[in-house]
Amino acid sequence: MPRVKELNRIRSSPPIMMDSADAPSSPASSEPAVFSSDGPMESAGIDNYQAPRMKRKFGGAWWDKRDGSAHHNDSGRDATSKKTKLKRNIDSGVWMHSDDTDNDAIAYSLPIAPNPPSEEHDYESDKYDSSQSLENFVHDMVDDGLACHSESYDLTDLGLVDKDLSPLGGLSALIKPPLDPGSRVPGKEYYRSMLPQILLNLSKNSLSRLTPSLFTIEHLTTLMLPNNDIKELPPQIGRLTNLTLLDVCNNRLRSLPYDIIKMLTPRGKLERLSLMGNDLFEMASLHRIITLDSESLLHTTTFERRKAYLDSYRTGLLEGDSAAAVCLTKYLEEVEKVCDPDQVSLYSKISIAGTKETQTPLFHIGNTAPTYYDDAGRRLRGSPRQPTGDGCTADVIVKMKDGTWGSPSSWFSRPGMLVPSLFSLCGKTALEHLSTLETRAMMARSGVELFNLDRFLDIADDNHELVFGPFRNCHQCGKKYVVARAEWLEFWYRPVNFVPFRVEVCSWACVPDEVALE
Amino acid sequence: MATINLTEFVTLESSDGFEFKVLRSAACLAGTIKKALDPSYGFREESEGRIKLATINGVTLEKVCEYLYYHQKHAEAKDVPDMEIPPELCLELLIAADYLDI
Repeated sequence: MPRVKELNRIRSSPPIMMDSADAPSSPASSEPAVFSSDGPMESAGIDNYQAPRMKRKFGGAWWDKRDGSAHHNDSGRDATSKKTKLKRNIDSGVWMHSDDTDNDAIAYSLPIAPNPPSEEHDYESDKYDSSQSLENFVHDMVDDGLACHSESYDLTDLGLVDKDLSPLGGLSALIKPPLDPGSRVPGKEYYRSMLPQILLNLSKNSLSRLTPSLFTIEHLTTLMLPNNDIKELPPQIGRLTNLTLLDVCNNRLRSLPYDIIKMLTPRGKLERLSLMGNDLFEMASLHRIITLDSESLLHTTTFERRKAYLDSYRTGLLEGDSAAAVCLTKYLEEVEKVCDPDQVSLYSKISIAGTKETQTPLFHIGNTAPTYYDDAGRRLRGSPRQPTGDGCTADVIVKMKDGTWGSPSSWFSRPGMLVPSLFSLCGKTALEHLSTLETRAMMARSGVELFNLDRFLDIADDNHELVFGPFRNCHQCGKKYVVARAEWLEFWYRPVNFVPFRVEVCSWACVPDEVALE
Repeated sequence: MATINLTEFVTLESSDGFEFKVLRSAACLAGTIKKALDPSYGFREESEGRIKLATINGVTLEKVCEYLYYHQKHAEAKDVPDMEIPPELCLELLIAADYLDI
C-alpha cells in the first residue's frame, strides 16, 4: 500500500532535512508524482501539513535568458531561489473565509470609525508650529482630518488670511466611514449616511474675501466666521446648500448677497444666521420697534390686539417713529396672511398655516428703489442711489394693504431698452475667451482706445476680487454678467432682525415689476 | 414705389465696399446712425439714405446688421435670448459697437 510506504519514509527522513539546499533531487525509488509540478514525493506526505512542500518550477523559454546567467534544471539551486524569493509556495490547505480566523486581517484593511457613533474626534489646532507656513499647516490639517475622517475643524485665532484657506477644498472629499460592527451582526445604529456634516470654525482670523475652494465643500453644515474682516460675502456662498448654521458676527458687513435668501429656511436648510456686531443697513432697529411697542405686541400677539394696532395705524394715530411703526405693521400684515392668529409671537417659531411643522418665518418687508446703471457701470442720471453711509439714508418702500409708505417724491421709471446691447454681448464673449489683461493688450495693439471698454474691464477685475472670476450670476434669471445693470436692497424679516439683502441683476428687464413700478 | 423704398431702407457701406440695405427703423437703433439720418441736421447721409462706415469692415458690419434686426425683433419681448457672437469677431464688434453706440 503506497500510504504505508509514505508514512514510513517520513519517519525515516525528518522534514527539517528538506530545507537544506543539498536535499536529494531525485531519489532512486519514489512514487510517481500526482501532478507534474509537485516536487519529489518524499518531501511530504499528503496528510502532513507541517513539513514544507516544494513545487517544481518549469521555466519558460525566456527564463534562461534572464540576466545572461545560464540556468539549468538544477533542482538544488532552484530550491534555494525558492526559499529566498518565493514565500507563498506552501499550500496551506485552508480556503480563505472558510473559518473565523481570517476575520481580523480583512477588517483591518477597511477604514474603521470610532465605534460608538456619538464619540467624534475633534481636530484641535493646538499643535501649530510657528515655523511652518500657515497654508501648509492648513493643508496638513486637512490631510490628517481626511485620514481619520474628522468632521470638525477648528482654525481659531491663527491670523489666517484668505489664501491660507485654499487647501480646505480638499474637505469636499471627506466621507463618513461605515462603522465597524466587529464580528457581531450590525445593529440599527450602524446603518448611517456616509455623507459627512462638516464643521469649520474660522473665528478670529484676518479673512476678508474667503476663497473659492471653501465653497466647493458641499457637505459643510456649520461655518463659523465671527471676528473677521469680511465686508461682503461672496455670492458663491449660495453653493453651500447644506449649510445649517452661518455665523458672521463681528465683521464689517453692510448687507448680505441675495443668494442667501434661497438658503434660509423655509426655502433652504440654513436655520441659524448670526449677524450681530455688523454695521448692517437698517430701516428700523428692533430696539426702536420694541420702544414703540408699549403693549409688547412683539411678544404676545393675539388677533384682536394686532387688529387694534393695525386700525390705529390706519386711522393715523401713530406719530413719531414712523419707520418702526411701518415695519411692525407690515410684519403684522405678513403674519396675518400666513398664520394661525392665536399662536403668533415675534420671538417664537411660527406655525405656518397649511404646513404642519413649525418653521422660522421669512417675510419680505420692503425694498429700496432700484438704481439703474449703463453698460459701463455708470449710474443713470436721475436714478436713485443706494445707501452708502451709516444707517439707511435711502427711502425704503413698504407696500402695505392700503397704500405704499416711503415712496420717493419723484419715481425713476425703468428704462425702456430691455435688449442687451451689442457692446455688452461682445464684452461678455471676449471675456469668455480672454482674460482682462489679454483683452487690454489686444485693444492696445489695435490702436483703438475705448473709454467704456476700460471701465467694463475694470469692473471685470473688481468681480475677480469678490467672485473670483469676471462673471457674476444674475439674482433674477441666473445668467452670467459682468456689469450689474440695476441693484437695490431688500429687507426681509427673520427673527429677530430685518436683514438687508443686496440684489443685483444682469439687465433692466430683470428688475421685477414689484420693484420697478411705483 | 421708388420713394417709399428710399425712405424705408438705408444703405450701410463698409470700409471694403460691401453694402447692406437695412430697414431704417432697425438702423436707427444705433445712436450714431440715427443722428446721421436726422433730417434736422441736414447731413448728406440723410438725403442720400446712404452711410459710409469707414472703420467697419464687411464681415463685422454684417454682424452689426444682424444685431440691429435682433434688437428690433426682441424690442418688446420680456425674456430675450442672448445673440451668439463669434469670438473671433468680438473685439472688432466691440469697437464697432462703441462707435455706433449700440
